[in-house]
Amino acid sequence: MKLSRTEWIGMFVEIAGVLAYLIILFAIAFLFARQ
Amino acid sequence: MTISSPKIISYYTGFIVLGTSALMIIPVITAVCQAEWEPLFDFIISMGIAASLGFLLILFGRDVKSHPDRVQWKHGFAVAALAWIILMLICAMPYLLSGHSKSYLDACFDVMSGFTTTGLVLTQDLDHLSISLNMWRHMLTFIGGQGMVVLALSFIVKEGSGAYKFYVGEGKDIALVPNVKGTARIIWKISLIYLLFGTFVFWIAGLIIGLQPVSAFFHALYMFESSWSTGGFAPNTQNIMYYHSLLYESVAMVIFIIGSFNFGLHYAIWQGKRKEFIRNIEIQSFAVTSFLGCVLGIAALSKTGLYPDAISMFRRVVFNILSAHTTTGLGSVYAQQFAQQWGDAGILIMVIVMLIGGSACSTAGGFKGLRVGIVFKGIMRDIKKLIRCERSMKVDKFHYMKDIVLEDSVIRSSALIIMCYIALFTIGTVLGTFCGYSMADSAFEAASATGNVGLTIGVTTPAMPAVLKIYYIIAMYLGRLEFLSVFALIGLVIAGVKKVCKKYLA
Repeated sequence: MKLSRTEWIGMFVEIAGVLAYLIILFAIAFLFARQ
Repeated sequence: MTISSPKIISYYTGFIVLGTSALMIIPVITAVCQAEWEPLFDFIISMGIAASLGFLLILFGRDVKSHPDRVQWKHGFAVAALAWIILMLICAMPYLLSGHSKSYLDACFDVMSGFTTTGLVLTQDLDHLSISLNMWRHMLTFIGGQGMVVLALSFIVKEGSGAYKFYVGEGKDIALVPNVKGTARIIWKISLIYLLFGTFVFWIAGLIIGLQPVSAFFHALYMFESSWSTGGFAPNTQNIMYYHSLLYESVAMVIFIIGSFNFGLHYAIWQGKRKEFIRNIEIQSFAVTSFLGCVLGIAALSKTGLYPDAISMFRRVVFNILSAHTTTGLGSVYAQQFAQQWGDAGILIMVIVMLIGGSACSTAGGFKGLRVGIVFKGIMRDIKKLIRCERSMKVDKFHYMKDIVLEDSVIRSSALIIMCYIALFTIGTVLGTFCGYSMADSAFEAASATGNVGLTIGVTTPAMPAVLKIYYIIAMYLGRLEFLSVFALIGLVIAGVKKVCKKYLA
């Protein structure tokens, strides 16, 4: 089950995309908490 | 030579049952390593019964071996539907023998909850479960997420023996490569790579929060299996709250969101088609509905003052809404807090996102973002038609791995499945109210069972009426197999009964 370079990058893209989305949601929670 | 449908169904179901009995070797090894002798015998007894039944089923349908080309679509659907019922009955045995289930019905409930990646629990004294039984619970949810039939296709069933029909019967209809066995193997490759990666990250997080290395490993493995399969089981009564850790919850969130993605999407991105991540209709649908759900949830709950800072808002509101939307069911608040603190707005948001669910051909449940996206595009198309010049001709498309023309038949079939889910949810809600629960509690729990979520508002307990337990088992089962396979099985049973009646009454 060896992963090629493209597959590693694909996996990283998925994780990075989800992390970015969670950071946006955290920023929204932060904005509401400040009010 | 004519081969009857029961023989074909029996033959392939036998292989799946036999495969499941072989899987029990993992908890058996765990029990030996951990010196858990009573659970060891529970598993050996269950394994023996499962293997015997598997052999009997194969023996009954042995004529099929020389005629694998006789498999029709109805058989594929019926095998998937029947295998899930038989496996529920078999896999419940270790639960019952352990003494942690009040009755066989409760044990079956927990197994169906695991297989369908729901996560509702009736097992008692969860904190004192043996390691081997915990391993079995989480294995079931992990395998259920990928699909038992998919597993069987990977290793047991021969290519060309109508394999694609079994695969579709389990609600996974995307062909990653022309060869269906290859598709099943790709699904397992993606899941196993993430299993290694996710378990390692959870293990590190466990060490950081102070767990012992061995304990951290088992917790990491269980929590990964639960998160990736959008299952919602945990080795403790307190679920993810046991860890008291933002880091642990964040790792879980990343894994369950990725786990709720379509295997076709994973494969496309892993093949270098990164734009798919933005263009795919399911991702667009998930991004819009989950974002709206989270913002509305934060707005509604920020007024109450329950969660005064951004971190508690993120850990309680965003976590639970995403857990509900991806149909995971890991909960970072207690059941009673939903009922008493979240209010009607919070519960309504949870019910809606639980019903929408994750992606098609993934480990998630619900009526899926794909269908929501298609129906939404269909509505927009009709509105545009009214506005456009009558003579203008425009072909509407949506992107799902490739550009697909938005035809009426696609919109109709998506709308029909959504209607089936809503009917199942409505019946569950009405039944809950008849059993004496409030409207909000009944709706929450019915949405959780129908959408294969697993969050509870306090209805699911060993003390709840048996009729409700049976209904939730049916709802989890129908929701997971997306109706068609079960309808095919019922159709075949009715046809068989009619045939027998004609034979003996004529």
